[in-house]
Amino acid sequence: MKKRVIATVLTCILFVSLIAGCSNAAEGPTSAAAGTAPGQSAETPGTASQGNDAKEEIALTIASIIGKDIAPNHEPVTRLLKEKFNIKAEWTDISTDEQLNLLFSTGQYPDLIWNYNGEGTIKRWATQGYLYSIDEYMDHLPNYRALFSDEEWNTTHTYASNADGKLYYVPTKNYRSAAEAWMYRMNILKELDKEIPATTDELYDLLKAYKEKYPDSIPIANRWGFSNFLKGFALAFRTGTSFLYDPDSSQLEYGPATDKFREMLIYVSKLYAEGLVDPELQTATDTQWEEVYANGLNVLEYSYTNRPVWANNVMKDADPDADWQWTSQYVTAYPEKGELVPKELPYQPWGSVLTKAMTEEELQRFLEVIDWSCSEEGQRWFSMGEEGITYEMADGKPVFKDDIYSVTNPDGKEIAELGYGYYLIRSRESLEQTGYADDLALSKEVEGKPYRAFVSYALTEDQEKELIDPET
Amino acid sequence: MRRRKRKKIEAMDIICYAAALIVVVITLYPVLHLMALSFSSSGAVSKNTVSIWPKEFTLQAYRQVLSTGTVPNSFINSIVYTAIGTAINMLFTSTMAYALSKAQLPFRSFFTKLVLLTMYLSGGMIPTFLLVNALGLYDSIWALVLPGAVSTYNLIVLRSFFAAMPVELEESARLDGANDITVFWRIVLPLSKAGLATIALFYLVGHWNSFYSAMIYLRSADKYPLQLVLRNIVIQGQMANELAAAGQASAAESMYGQVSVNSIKYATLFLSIVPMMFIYPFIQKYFVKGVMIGSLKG
Repeated sequence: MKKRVIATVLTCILFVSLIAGCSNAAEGPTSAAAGTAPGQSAETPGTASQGNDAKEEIALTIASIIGKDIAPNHEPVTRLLKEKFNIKAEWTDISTDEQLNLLFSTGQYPDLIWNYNGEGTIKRWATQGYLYSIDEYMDHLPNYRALFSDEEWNTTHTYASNADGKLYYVPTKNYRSAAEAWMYRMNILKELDKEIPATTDELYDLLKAYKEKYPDSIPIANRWGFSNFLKGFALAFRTGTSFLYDPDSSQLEYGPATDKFREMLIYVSKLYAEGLVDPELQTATDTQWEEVYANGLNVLEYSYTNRPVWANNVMKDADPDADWQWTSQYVTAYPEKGELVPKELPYQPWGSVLTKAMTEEELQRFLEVIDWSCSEEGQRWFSMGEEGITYEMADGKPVFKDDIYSVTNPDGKEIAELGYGYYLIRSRESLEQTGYADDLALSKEVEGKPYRAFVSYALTEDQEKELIDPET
Repeated sequence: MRRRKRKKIEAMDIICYAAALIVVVITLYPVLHLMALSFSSSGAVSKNTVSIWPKEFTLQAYRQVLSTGTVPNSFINSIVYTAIGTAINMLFTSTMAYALSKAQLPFRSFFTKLVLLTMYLSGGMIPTFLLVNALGLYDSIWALVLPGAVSTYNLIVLRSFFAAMPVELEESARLDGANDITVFWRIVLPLSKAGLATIALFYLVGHWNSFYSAMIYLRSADKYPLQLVLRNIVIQGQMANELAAAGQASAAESMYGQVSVNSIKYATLFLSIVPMMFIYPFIQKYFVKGVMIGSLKG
């Protein structure tokens, strides 16, 4: 009997606490006792504005996207933000888009995302009203704006802005105009007594000769599927895989609907049918693509200028004489028209995203960070680190220390591991030391040559959905 | 002297053993292949010449993995989350299952139905996230451990197990002066090792393999468990593919362009399954005994 009474009382307490908990939940998590939720500054929003003092400490929640650096080191940037801008940074490490979408969906999103690569997603968040447009604050960003010429900024703004014409993130400045080229295993070309191809016919002859000599080979390796495979050939056939300003008709065209695109497909399918390309070019994983190189199976690829260094290393067992080199000579299918060279957009589609979780004052303070990072001092800090820690001065120029990664010291620690890493622009002085000199060299070699003009357009959401059907 | 009769080998025996052998090979081959890859040089791995035996044996991959600090740190995190999580799971599940197995529990039917309801209905990801956040559990181990403290399925199984125990055992203990807690702790639990070990194994493996909760509720990378770190390592190539397929090859190159060292990936993968491989033989006997727990008994 006594036990039954105790059990009944305990049960009643259970129900009462359940109801009490539900009542508290119905009022919403507005109590300060709930603690600091993500997306909310540790200081209450009014703090920064109460005293009207720009140097008053503000706290910002900053989302950091984990990419190659699985264990991000935030210490240097946290210290910089505190010492120079009196910003207390609270970091949230994000490894998936689901995490980020959940934070936005629940209203718990951070004050800013340090460096996000997802222009489509950013535009969607902007449409939903989460983001500040930087257009209204460009007068606070003179150093950033100075990174672009007027033409470059117009192109950037057109491509990166939403359908309403406003720009809702801070794009990264592209330090190069071209980075992709045909690369060849030069020792094989010498062996076959072939020159670097200038036309698609010469390319075919080279591939055929290589395949005849090495029947088990895969003359062209490919990474990242069919659309990536077509890049070099689209340039050769003066067409494109999407909308383009056709260099021959001077009209806005949809590449896949043109005769030139068909000719390209005929050419590529001939290569495929004769076993001159990787039969698994559409589905090959990174591992399978690397396997082609490691076994010394291929002789060329259309890829990035930093690829030959890697290729020589991976292929050294299978072919100790492997001598991969890139070339600024682009293959053309129409010799009478000459070659076309690639040209990248003046910006790269990733950068800082500023959300409306920040107050106006907090936003203004962070704009100071953005603008300083684009100054000479800021570029050096982010791209090269700090003097004495990551670099030393030699003849007035910063040079990475012996324990830091550079092209002369490939076993060194990457500065990203130490918590540095370029932000919005790679400094010129770091490019040559970190293996991007080839990008600059290619950009210089193709300067002034004919390229496919950019088509500046911004589709509405309905138009983007409509585009999916013909592409399918 | 009586001769021992030789057991006749029947066709069915051959079929059974052959099928078991096939299953063993299918199960064991990937593990052996993974182990071989992790102990092979990166050159041999790149050339895809490794089968079930390491080629150009090296510990380089393990040295790199263990020297970074990230993987060992996440390994320790996983052990902590698994240990604490399993302990909490077992505490709440066994006590609740025992209580629900007693017919004299007031409102027993109501509580059982309430618990069963959670098997079919849940708040969904967003309300659960808001709840965890509001309770102040965000970015802590408790967000990973408390929301799933009691698995309804395991609770039902354990309840059935406790219900099948002879009542006379408990009555004789009570005659000797034992109270409810003493009966539970000193009589019921020792006799339930098979069931408890089975359920504990389910929870243990669940915690060890889980990464989704960590991905949603943890904001600091130094608190990530091993599976989440592993996922980030393994998925880099896939993310690069997706970016490149979306026409952003330059983004893919910039963020993931450096070709990953596969042997490091395989070393990390192998490290993640080693603890389970060590623990399982010790509790296998309980698992075999407990595989039929909760089933009807004669």
